[in-house]
Amino acid sequence: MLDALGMEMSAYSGNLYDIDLNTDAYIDECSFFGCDEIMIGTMPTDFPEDADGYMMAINLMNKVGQKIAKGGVYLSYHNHAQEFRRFKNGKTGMDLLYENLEPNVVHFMLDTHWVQSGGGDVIQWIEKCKDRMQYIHVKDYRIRPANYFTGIGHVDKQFAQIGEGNLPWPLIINTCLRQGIKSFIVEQDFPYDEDPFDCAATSYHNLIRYGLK
Amino acid sequence: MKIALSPMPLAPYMPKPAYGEYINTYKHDIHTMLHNIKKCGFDGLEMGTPEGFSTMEYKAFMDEAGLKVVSGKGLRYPEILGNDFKKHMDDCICLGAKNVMVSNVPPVVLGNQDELNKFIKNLNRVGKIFMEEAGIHVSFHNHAIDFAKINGISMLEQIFENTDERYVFFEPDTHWLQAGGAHVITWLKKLKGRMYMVHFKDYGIDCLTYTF
Repeated sequence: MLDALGMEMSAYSGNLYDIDLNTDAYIDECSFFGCDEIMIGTMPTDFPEDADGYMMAINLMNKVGQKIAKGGVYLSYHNHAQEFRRFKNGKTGMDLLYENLEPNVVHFMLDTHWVQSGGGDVIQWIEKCKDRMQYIHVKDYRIRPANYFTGIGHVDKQFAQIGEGNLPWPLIINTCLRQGIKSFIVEQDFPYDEDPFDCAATSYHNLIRYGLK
Repeated sequence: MKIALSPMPLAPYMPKPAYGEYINTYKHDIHTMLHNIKKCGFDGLEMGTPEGFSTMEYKAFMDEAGLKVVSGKGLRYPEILGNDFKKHMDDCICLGAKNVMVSNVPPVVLGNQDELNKFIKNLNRVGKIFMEEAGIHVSFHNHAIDFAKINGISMLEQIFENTDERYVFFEPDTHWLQAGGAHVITWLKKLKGRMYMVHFKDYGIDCLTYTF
């Protein structure tokens, strides 16, 4: 069906334990689709939510990454805001991932909205992931003029079409292109009250308007 | 003068104004607070004359503690719309403060382009008076909500584009730039020449259970 539509599959997402158990099946499936990366979408929930838990998960990802690398497939880690939590040892989850994942087998697949939401500098993180990231999730970060009286400390943020929020798109796109990102994956978790295809089309056109292609 | 403190985090501990027989205790508490701030290492404070004090009395307390007032009492609606801000100006002049903050857009401006235009017009008007009459910077201080867009352009961007660079300045807040979805470094560079002060606070994540 993808072929008929003239589309390609850029990356695949999977469960770490399942990939560990059925590595060969995942390699076959990736090679069938012509895709070279499997994304791990979050921390496995059965590890403790502390620095030790992160290290356990990182070791597992490195192990599975090495296994699947034999079939020419990379793993990649996809962040949300929670990876920016700082642990008692002074490091954030992202620091631990960055310092301990093996760059040649486990890549990053950053998400622009969630890096911002976690307090990270989107541009700096893209630059840090040079040679360790082939694909990136792009979604914007929008502030809704909420009921003011909920307090000035209240942040009514939303996922948003590219260009409808406040992320620095020309800079993001330039930085990604400079370091050879293969695909930009548009993601908008909720369309709110808009048509999801309109949202997707807006994101697509704005990516091009801001310098892609 | 480099590092000052905004008394916001002290708000719950700030001595409550008291009068009559309690006035001296209240003033003593303010005195202690100022000395504690100095002991932390700060050079100044972003706080106009507190309630219950005369300007000169507050200045004497600050001088004695070795602190400077870097920024006076914030301007709000409705005083920005008229001329009621003169007392703030006099307070700043007596205290030697060279800055006065306008903290976030007034509620009526949210989502309303006409009200935003009116707000911007008055910022220019009030900024001109403060700068020309007293050399004081009127600085807009953002929160996340100022990044909400009207007609496709965020309110902060519109304020930046449409205020007079000679009269209206910015006192951005690093945490709120981030929380608003903006690129902190880009904004700090963009505000070169229009930023007399900056609010520094970090942005931490504390989610013990996660859904993604």
